[in-house]
Amino acid sequence: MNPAELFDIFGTEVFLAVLALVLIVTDLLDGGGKLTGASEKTRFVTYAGLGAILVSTFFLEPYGDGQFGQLDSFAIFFKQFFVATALLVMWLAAPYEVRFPAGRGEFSMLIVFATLGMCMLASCNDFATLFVGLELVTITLFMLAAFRPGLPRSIEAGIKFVIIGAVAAGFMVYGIAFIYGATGSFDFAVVHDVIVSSEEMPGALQFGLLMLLVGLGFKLGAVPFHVWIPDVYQGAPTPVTAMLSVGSKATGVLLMMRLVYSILGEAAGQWTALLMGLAFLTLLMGNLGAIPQTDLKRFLGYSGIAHAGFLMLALATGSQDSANAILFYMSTYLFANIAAFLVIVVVSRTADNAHMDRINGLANRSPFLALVLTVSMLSLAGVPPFAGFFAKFMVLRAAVDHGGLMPVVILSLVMVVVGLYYYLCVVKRIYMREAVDSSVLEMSGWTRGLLLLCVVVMFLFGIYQSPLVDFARAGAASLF
Amino acid sequence: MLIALVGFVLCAMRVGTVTGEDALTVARPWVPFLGVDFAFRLDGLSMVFALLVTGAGFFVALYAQAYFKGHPDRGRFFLFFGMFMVAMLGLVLADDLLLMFVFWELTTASSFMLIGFSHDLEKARASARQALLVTGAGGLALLAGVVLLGNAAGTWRISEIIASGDLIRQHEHYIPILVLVFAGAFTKSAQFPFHFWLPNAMAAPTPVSAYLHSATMVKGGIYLLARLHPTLAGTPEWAWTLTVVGAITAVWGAVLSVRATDLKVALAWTTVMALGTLTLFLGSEAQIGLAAAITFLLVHALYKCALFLVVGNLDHEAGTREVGLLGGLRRAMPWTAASAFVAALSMSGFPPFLGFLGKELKYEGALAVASEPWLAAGAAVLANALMVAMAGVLAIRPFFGPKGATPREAHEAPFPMLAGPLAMGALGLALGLMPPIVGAGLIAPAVQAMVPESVDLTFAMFHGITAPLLLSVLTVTLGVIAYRLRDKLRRVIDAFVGALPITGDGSYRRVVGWIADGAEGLTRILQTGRLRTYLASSFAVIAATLAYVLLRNGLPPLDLDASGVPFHKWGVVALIAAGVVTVLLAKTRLVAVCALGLVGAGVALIFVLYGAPDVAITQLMVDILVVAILGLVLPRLPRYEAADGTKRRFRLVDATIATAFGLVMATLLLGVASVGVDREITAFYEANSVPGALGRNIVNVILVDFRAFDTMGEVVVLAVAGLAAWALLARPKEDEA
Repeated sequence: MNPAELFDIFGTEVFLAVLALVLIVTDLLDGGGKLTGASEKTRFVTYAGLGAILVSTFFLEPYGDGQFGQLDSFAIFFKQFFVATALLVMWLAAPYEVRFPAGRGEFSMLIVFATLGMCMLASCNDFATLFVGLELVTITLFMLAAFRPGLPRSIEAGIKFVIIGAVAAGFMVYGIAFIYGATGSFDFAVVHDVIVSSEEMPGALQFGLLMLLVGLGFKLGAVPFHVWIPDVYQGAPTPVTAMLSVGSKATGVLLMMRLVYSILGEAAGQWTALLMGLAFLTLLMGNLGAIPQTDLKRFLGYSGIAHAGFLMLALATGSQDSANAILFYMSTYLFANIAAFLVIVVVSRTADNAHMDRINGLANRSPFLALVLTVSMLSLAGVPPFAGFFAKFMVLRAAVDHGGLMPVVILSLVMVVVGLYYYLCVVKRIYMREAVDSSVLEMSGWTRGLLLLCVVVMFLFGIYQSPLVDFARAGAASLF
Repeated sequence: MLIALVGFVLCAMRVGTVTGEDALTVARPWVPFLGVDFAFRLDGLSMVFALLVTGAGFFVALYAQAYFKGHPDRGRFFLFFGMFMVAMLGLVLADDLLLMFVFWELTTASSFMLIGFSHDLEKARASARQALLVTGAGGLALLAGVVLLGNAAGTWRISEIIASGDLIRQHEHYIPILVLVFAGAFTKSAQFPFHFWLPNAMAAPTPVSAYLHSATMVKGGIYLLARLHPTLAGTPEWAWTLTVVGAITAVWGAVLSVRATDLKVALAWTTVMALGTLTLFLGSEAQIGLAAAITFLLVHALYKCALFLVVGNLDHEAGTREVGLLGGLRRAMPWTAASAFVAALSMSGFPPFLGFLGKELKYEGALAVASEPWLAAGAAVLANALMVAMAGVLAIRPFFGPKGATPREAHEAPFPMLAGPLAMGALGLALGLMPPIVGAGLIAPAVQAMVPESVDLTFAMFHGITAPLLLSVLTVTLGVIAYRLRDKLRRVIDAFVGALPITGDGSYRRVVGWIADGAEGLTRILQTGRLRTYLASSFAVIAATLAYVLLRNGLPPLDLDASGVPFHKWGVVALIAAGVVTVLLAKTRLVAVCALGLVGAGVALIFVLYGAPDVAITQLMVDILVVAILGLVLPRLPRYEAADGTKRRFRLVDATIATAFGLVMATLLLGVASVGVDREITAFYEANSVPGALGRNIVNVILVDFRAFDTMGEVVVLAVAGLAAWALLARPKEDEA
């Protein structure tokens, strides 16, 4: 492989790596080597760098297969998604960063590295790169989850994440070994050929793929590998939780999509029952689990599990419509979640927990924040006319069109009602409870701007979806 | 309020011009990839509903201005109220299934905020939740129905779907579509067995009850049924379901209304009765039946809205809605009494009120019901007779007789709170005086929208002595008797209801209770916060899945003949086994870690025996490092809690899971090993490592050359981890915030 090819495929990753290194240096120069943390300059470099890289991703041209990776429109979609996520998370982190006793420079750097890993995964076309990319993402996130060493909860989150993550990674490597043994290749295309050409999938290959599924299920937050989510979401610093809930979940989605649509391809039908079952359980656990929660971040963790269930439902159909639906879904989910976590950052500023009481009577304290959180909850619940409704609608339509998924479709409809219930319970707290703490909520203009952006996006793509749908379609086109 | 007035005037101006053919249509593409349009259409049917929504909206908004005078959240009320009105208007005007659904959901969401408006009351919150859950569940059923219907018809446009009725009725999904649409309509319109949420929702402020629960929102389901009538009706399933459900709802609602002592709850039950009647008539295909439904819809909205507002006045001015406490208020509240009286006359169907026309049409329609005319007529008579009794309770009890012991000294309500009831009562009278105009202007076009052939209906107050007139006389007689005997009747019904084993409300509570308990139980069991449970459940699931696949594929041929295994290999196995047993029995962590090292060494020996010394060395290095690091860390931790009796159960479970997992993995490995090794890849690297990368150690060549990119990635991972760990550990500790 020549360097030019490497750059054509992994250009974004190269930029991100350079940005990470620049950040380390800036941080060092800025803090003069002192351990008191970074300042405006580091932050500026992060924003400018991520912004420039985001712009650059729009100039990416599909390249096709290379020796170590590929760049198709699907990869480009996810690179844009990940860089945008990183930018939004850093933006969201701005009001939070003061709470890091130190290490803000490293915080930015770790986020950039995690993004680098995610982008690498978007372009991977063999299992070795997949594993390495996944490790890069997971290990940086381990560190990030434990980024408040003074808070036992944060440490606990980090440790739980590490151990369950290690188990999942172990299974995954094992699975990859099986796949390699059965097909003699790491290459997705070769594995695909073996699967499609053989009448019945070899046993070793089946087991390998199943164990791979374990690893991906862990990322995605699908039952039964969802157990870490509530604890880690609650314990991790809020911006990291946002990164986990969007970026990390998206890597799971991305790889699942590669697995189902590209690697299994025509054979995806064999997995419909399995994925359907997992979707069923995930929907059940996520939605029921969310009901009794009293911590906002934990609550959003369960809500994220429920959303993973919806995405699995779409995956189970294996159709092109469902792929479009998933990409659309992820995009709307990104903005709804960023908005929700940013509100959490603002309201929990005075105390380091996100108990639901903190949003009681938010409507009186800050009508703007109340509106943002309400829109976000309604979009997540799938209430029209917000973007989340169309995301759910597209998924359900794909599932109905498939025809064989009726039991799960019905259950998922029931679960949408349950979801409506708990999301509206949050809305109810905002508008119908007395505030526990009536101190003034301060926000910078930037924070306001980000909240406004999220609301506008959720609303705009709720009533005028075509651009986003076209975007998602273009992204999913290369899978088929 | 202005929106309502403007909307009303705009709609009213179009009355008469909209008949089937020249319906007003506006459409813009909305979601092109799904073929969903932002399309609105105003035809006869939509017209009636749109007039209701805007007209009642105007008077109720006027009323609410005075009702909420000085209320701190008045602004919020009007925000939600306006939102609801727009949504409702959108619902009845939408010409696209999906668009209609969007508005349908919007009415649900905004009504949730309105019902729960008096949020200080726990009851208000609970009933808001109940209304939301019941109608929300129905709404989603409707969504599924809408998707199926759209797929079956190949279009989302309602006007096109209506035209393809035969196609739909013969479609294989007809029954599911019907069931799902019914689920949506019945929940929204409080039909049996979902009727219970409506009276509970009476915890809402009066304007909300008047507007949502009599005039508009609950009519949403009726609208849906009427709208889809041309598409779905005409089968026995449709006719029977609607007739039976409608009849049960009507009679049951009427019966329970007699039982209620809270006037508002009584009104709610009479609304349930009215909705049942409407459903009943939509089951019919005869024009006269549909005309009855539309007429009664108008009648009901006019008198019910007025009565709700009257009760609101009583509540507001006298401080109670209990029928036992009210009495003799006609002097204190003359205008309220007058409007109550007029509305009640229309309700009980005396000529020359519009109610009379409605009732006559109802009987005529009931007799024309194809499936079971006497069931329909019987239900209608029974329900109407009880309606007469209730009209008496509402219009006579509070205003005549001895003065009741009201909590507050009653006086007349301000003008804005009288305008609505008076105007609506008067409208009931005025429209009743000119049946031909009403018939030709509103009802005929609405019916036209539902039936393909041209409408041929005559509307008049007096048709001569006919069966319907006789039934009317019977109704009034029965009604008066029921009024006189109301206390006795109430006791009988009380006893009857008390003896019912299952009630809708009770079932709802039970189901919600189950879900909440289930959810809590589930999270308590599965989300313990303990890593042990998490790992155990993960391993258990993986083992079970793998075992399932293993068994389904059939066990691989296992070569369990161990006779040829040389002595030294047994030694290695024994070493590993000893390590495992020591780990299990270890009393301290340190011993356990050392024993694990033993296992690692055993594995390394296996690598040596099979000719991979480099892998063995790696294994040994890693193992030694791990043991050393753990050995350094572990002594700093608190003492290991030895397993006591209470934890035996855990250990047993863990042991089972571990054994099962080990067995599955071992079988798997043996199975794979017995298949034979593919030497192709090895051959490739053997042939290429020297010419391609000038290296003789294949493993090294793979690491630094063939897969150099991955190796670099791994190095980056490690470097990042190291950097971050340094950042965290080298910093001063943060205080617990």
